[in-house]
Formats: sequence, structure tokens, C-alpha cells
Amino acid sequence: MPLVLVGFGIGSLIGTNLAGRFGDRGPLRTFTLIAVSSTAVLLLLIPLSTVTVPTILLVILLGATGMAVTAIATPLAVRFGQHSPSLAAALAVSAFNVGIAAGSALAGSAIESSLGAIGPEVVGAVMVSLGLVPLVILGALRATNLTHHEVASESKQVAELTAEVTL
Amino acid sequence: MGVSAGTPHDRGSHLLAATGCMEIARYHGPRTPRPRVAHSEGLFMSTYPPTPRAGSAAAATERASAKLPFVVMLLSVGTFLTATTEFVIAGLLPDLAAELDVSLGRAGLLITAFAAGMIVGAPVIAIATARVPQRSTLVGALLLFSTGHVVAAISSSFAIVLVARVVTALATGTFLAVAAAVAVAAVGAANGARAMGTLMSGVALATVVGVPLGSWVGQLVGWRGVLWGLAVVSALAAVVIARLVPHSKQEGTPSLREQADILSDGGFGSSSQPRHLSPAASWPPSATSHRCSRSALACPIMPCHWSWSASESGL
Repeated sequence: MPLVLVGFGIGSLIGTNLAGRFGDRGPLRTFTLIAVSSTAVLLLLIPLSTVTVPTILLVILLGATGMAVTAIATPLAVRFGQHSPSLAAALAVSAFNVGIAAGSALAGSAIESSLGAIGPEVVGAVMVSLGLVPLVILGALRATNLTHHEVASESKQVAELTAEVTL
Repeated sequence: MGVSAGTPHDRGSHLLAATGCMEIARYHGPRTPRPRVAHSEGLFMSTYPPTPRAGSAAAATERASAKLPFVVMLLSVGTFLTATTEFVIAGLLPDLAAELDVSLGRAGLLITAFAAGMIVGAPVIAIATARVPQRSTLVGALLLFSTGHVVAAISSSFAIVLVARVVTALATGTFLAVAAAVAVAAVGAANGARAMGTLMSGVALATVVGVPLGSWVGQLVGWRGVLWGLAVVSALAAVVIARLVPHSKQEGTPSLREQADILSDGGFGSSSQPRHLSPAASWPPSATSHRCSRSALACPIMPCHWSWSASESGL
């Protein structure tokens, strides 16, 4: 188990830096790509979590996609919260932790439910998919005005970060 | 335009101190070959630096992102420490629970309390310290972080350890928030994600290096030793950050009421307008000086809307 966590850490090291590279060129595109791949990884984990090697690979990928969100969402929050950058970043930090707290609580109860060991993955996949909703709205809004980015990215973060705590 | 050079930045800082923020805006203004036909649609969509040739946004980004400021690396040491303490505690719980004579489940409250402290603490303290210079907030947060570890390390009561962890979490949330704001400001918004990626590498390294190292130390010298170690290293980090992070005056930051307004649509949404290009009279003075105070911290912050617009259009 600790080795799996190290894998998650290595994945997130790669993920945050890659996201940093691409996030500056196309924030929304990168954000959506991350959300879709997080969902895919979590869905793959449901059937594959009994097999060791794929699980480790998927956890590394999950680290990359899950943690990459922080690299994109926080600067977005700071940009759109220009007039009070610290507060904007603080709300992002807060949102991530709401996701971690809610995600681990839900995943904990899911593990005890009839879903058993795949419960956390299901919770993670559902929450990350929910995170796609504000991104789609955001994409639609972008054509007309940009005022709701902040709200959208905040709620996105909450959902996204649950992915990583479900393990 | 030579905004990236060190000298104009220094001169800008002096000007800030000497004559206030609006002078900086004027100072930057004439130097830059920016079209003063401000707030036209065409300008908003233009690239930064504004060159006659369209499509140079990518090149401009490349140039700007050649080197991340040292302050970002420095702050990632802080995120490494905060993330290490957040995650390492789980491995220390059995040892801690046995010594403080509580059940493992009850000891698990330390993890919940830490998360709760960050959820509540980050925005509350960000609002409370809005008028405090960012460097002071960073240093204060790290010192509080260190103190929280010391109190937990010397305590023989679980209740006190719990309170100390909540205080540590408040400091952690504050540090992460202000560090993110400082890092993004230091590189300019167009490179914000890259700076944030580096900052968050501290968190990733914590899970790869910090937590295993902490667990190993915990097995050697017990949970108190790990907390002592983090207390000492974070106090050192506070000293280094106090000396090396550029000072930024937060004069004229939004009041509590203004911050409440910012939380509504209008505040955030208005940032999509290139308001710093508008005549000064048309926008709130508080916003003016606040943005300038950030430009004192990091020179290329002034045209951040421009850069953002450039990357927006390339989405």
C-alpha cells in the first residue's frame, strides 16, 4: 500500500508539471482533458483493481490526472479573483479540502455498502463526472461572457479532488 | 518591451514607495509601446507583448516561461512541508494513539480536524489578513505552523494535540493560498499554471519523499520526533522566506465589504474587462492600488489580462 502511494505521488509530480505546461496554453481544454481522463481511469479501476500491475499503473495515472487539477484551477481562480488573489486561492484550497473530506467520507461509507471494495472507485468516478458538468457549462458560457469561471472552477475542484482520496 | 528586466521593476518598487501606485501605472504606460486605444475589442484580443505580427502569442509565452522565478521554488519548499505534515500523520497515528491512550478511531479525528481546519481556515484567514503584506502572511503562517508542531510535540493530552493540529491546519491553508497568489503573481497570469505546477510539485514530493521519510523517522524516534523535525525545518523556512521573498505592500487591498462583493458575480466577472487600461477614474481606487501592489512584487503582472486574453483566444 505505501508503494502505491509513492506511485500516486510520482504520478502527481508528472501530472502537475505537465498540466502547468499545457494549462497556460489552453486552460479549459487541458482542464476538460484531465476531467475526462480522471473519469476513464476511475472507471477502469473498477474492473481492474483486483489485478496488481494494472492497478499500480492506473494509480500513477490517477495521481497525474487528479493532482493536475490544482495546477490549473488555482491560477484560474487567482486570475478571475484578481482583486483579491489570496482570497481566490484560499477558496480553491478550501474547495480541494472539501472534496478530500467529502470524498473520503463517502468512499468510506461506500466500502461498507454492498459495493464493497469497488465502492470508492464508483464514488470517485461519479464525482469526477459531476465535475465535468461545470466545465461544459463553462465552455458554453465562454462564448458569451466569462463571469462564471470562478464559480465553475471551484465546484469543479471539489468534484475532481475526490478522485485521489478514494484510494 | 523590457518588462522582464530587473531594473525597471526595482525602479517601479521605488516609485511605489515614493509616489504611490498610480505613478507606476503612468510609469509603465509611456515606456511600453502599447497602443493607447485602450478597451477596444481588438486590443483585448491582442497578444502580449503587443507586436505588429499576429500569432506571436505562443512565442511570447515561450519567452516569458523560459525561467521560473526563484520565489516559486522557494515557496514549493513550504508546500512540501505543509503536505508532508498533512499526510505523514496517518502513519504516526498508532504510535500516537498508544502513547496518548486514545483509540485509533479517535486518533483518526486528527486527520478530519486538519482537513476541517484547512477548509475553514484558508478563506477566513485570507480575508482577515487581506491588508497584511503577503510576505508577512507567509512568514506568520509558517511560524504558526512551526508553533503548532511544537505544541503538539510536547503535549501529553490528546485534546491539546487536536487543537494544535487545527491551528497547524489554519496555518497550512493560509500558506498554500498566499503562496499560490504570490507564485501566480510572480510569473504573470500567462504562466500561472506552470508556476502552480511547480508549487504543487512540493505536494507531490511530499507523498514520494516527505511521507516515507517521516514514517521512517517516526519508527526510529517516535511521532514526537517527526513533529519536532517539521517544527525546526518550517521555522528555518520562515526565516529564509522572510529574507528572500520580495516585499509587497498590500495597501489599499479590498475591505471586508469589498471582498464580500468580490465573491459575488460582479467582482470576479469584472476582471474579464481590461480595466487597468481604462482611465483611472472609471474604476475603484482600491482595485488600482491593489493591482499595482502586485506589480511591485512581480513586474510582468501589469499586462496579465492581455496574456490571459491571448491564451483564452487560443483555447
